[in-house]
Amino acid sequence: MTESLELHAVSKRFPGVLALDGVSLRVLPGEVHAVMGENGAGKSTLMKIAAGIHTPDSGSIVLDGQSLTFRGPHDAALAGISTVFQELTVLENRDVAHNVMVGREPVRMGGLLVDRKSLYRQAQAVLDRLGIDLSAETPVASLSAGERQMIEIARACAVNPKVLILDEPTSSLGREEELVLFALIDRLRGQGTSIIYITHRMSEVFQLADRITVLRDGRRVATGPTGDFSKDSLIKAMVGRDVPERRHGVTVDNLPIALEAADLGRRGHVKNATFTLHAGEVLGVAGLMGAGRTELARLLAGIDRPDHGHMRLFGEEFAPSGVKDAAARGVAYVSEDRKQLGLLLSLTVADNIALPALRRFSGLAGLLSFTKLRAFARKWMEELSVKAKTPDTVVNTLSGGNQQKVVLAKWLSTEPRVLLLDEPTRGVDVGAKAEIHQRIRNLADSGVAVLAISSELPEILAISDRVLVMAQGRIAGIVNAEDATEESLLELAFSEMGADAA
Amino acid sequence: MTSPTAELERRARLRRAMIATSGIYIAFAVLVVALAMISPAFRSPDNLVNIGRQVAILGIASSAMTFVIILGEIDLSVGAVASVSGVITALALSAGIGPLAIPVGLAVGAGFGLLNGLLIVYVAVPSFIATLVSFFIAQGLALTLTTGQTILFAADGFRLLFATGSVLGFSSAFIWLVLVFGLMGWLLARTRFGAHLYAIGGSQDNARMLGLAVDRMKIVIFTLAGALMGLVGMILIARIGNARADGAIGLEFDAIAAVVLGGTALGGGYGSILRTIVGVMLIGVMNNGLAILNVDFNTQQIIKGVLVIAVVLVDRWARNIKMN
Ligand SMILES: Nc1ncnc2c1ncn2[C@@H]1O[C@H](COP(=O)(O)OP(=O)(O)O)[C@@H](O)[C@H]1O
Ligand SMILES: [Mg+2]
Repeated sequence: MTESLELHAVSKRFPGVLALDGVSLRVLPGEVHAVMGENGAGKSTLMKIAAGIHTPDSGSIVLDGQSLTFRGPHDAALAGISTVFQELTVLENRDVAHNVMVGREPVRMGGLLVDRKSLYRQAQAVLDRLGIDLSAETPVASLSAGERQMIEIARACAVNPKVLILDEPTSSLGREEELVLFALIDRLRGQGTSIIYITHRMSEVFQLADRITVLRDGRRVATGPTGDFSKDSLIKAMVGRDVPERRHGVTVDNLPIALEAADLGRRGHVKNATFTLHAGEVLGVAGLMGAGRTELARLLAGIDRPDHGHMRLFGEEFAPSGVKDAAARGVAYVSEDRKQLGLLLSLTVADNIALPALRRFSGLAGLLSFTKLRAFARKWMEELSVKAKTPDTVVNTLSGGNQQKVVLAKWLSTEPRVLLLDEPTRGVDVGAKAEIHQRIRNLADSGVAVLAISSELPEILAISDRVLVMAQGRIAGIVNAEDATEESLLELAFSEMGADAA
Repeated sequence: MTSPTAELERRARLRRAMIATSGIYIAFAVLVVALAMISPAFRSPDNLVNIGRQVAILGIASSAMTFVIILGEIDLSVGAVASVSGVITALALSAGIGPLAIPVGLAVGAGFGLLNGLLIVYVAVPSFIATLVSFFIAQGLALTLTTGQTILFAADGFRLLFATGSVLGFSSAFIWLVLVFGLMGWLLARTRFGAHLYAIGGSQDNARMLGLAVDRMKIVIFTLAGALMGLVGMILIARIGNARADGAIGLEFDAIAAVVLGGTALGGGYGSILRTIVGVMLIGVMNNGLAILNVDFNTQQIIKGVLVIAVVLVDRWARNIKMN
């Protein structure tokens, strides 16, 4: 057999960026080919070309020795290329079956009627075959982000594809769902399917991939068997320099207490949380999905009101009436879901950064001074090395990592005393991740009290001075990061499993 | 892992939500019973036939509007296109081309619908603007053709076919309505076309990524809506035996109101013909009843406005209950 998919010298220019510059990629039958690179390297663009969404400016797509032109995603699907896009494309207003079978709804009576029975039966069969524990009749609106992602995967695999493209499929998956996906990938590989797999998680790459291609700034910088790479050499290839990953350790005993929670609780989510957060430390918050980490942060940020317990901020009573109130007292919350809560995607970088501090830019007669605003935004863009051409770039067009930096810039520009970060590097590539980690450390060193929630234990260990582990709404333990290992944190995270939460 | 009390609370809330969402049906039943008791004229057989004829126009326009709204778009050209289709059909009839006037009327409506679709897809203007353009052109064309006069025509067969005839006691206009409801209900609920319409209406961007033909769908839906406006125009002139440039003026607003009263949100992706039927009946019966009770037209309009906001608020309240 020839190589099943070959992208040959593909170039693609968007207004203002050369997203791909003569990139070639060959994927063999039955191999998992990881494509890696920083945010903005061009990975998604390359995949969208293979999926018929974008037409390349030059270069060709060859499938099983045949050169193809796609007029749209439908053509690519017909050719046997299925794609799970980085952006969720589930149809929220429909149920699971209509999502899994979209465009392939079975009909009867010569097409006069959709054959609903077989629609649901076939969709359920796909879900069962893939080991996805969902009913085909469930409305998508009631599903979690992870479950929605699984629906996308089910849709891509509903007919056995020749080539399966997965663009950062695990960024919203829980552990269980990840395992289902990995099992599926193994099975498809065994059947001779070619799989292109994009992720920022090193562990996944080394676990799954047969070969790796690295992109940087729209060019291919390396391709080879996984065995030829080490974690360090991969990172180096992606960012083009060495990135040190180091852990900091301060003793918090001597640091002043910034925020103090006593017996804090909210029914069903957080129980009896008592802890202190010191100015100048990074307190990592670990735990399984649904352990109550985000809910705890929301209490501290004034988004939700506690049912019981109280807080003190620098020794003073702290019972914020809302985010605005909390922000006014120097407590900033950077939410987990930057698209829904953190950013106004259709506005510019400058607008987003300046939003919490708009008052400061009043010029003549109380009107906004855009000169001041832009200068301010530019300063913070530099501070966090946001890669956008100008402050007037619309946020929507930035890569995930750069969007995340904009969110950070937005809140840092308010000069908070307490910074609550929820999954600060979700969906961010290694290069940007390292930068964000460094930035978080610097902030703590400058005296800010940082609480950082993360689902990635290596990240927790890399940035934290102390780690607070939550399990089923309770604080299962607070440990010094220097004494902690991934295993010891996991043990704590599972510690109250099975115990009845009475 | 919810506690039993929480579960009970949730059920109670769902029950309240059910009552709230069925509010429109209850309102409808109360209205009908009350009108029938107060007014002998309302419950007369003649009047029922009359309601049937009146809701025919609103009902066909509303089912077209339902498709457009599920697509996530809006059509402001409905009344003007129906009017101009009626005018041109009347002119064709009086020119003596006979049954050929029917395809002419449909073609005028479909043509304006196609124009809407093409403007939206190829000129990339929002449907609000595109259909506003059609509204002006259709309105201007109708006024030019009629020079402000009423167009008379003599075509008894035509009038019988589209409005005044009766089958088993139902007016032919009402039969057309039933046919259109049937056709549209089938298309929407039972075909792939309908499934893709919901998908595209839910998110045009996502549907495009999933390989659905979004642009084609827009053109087809607007053209279909336009053709139905051609039909409405013909029923309109068949009913009264003449055509005026402002025959169906403002019909788009009643149609939007009927769709919204049925509980369909304007965002796209949701809605059904069944819901729209309820909305249409509510408006139809209310208009008729109020007219019989000698409530003047202006007051009727005010009552309609209040009704729309009341139903929308109750609906939102019910939705919030369901969500929590
Ligand atoms: N639709 C688009 N319009 C304009 N620019 C785009 C578009 N899609 C991607 N880009 C730009 O192309 C470059 C590559 O982006 P992308 O392929 O998404 O990178 P990756 O997936 O590796 O993070 C980025 O600079 C990005 O801003
Ligand atoms: Mg990407």
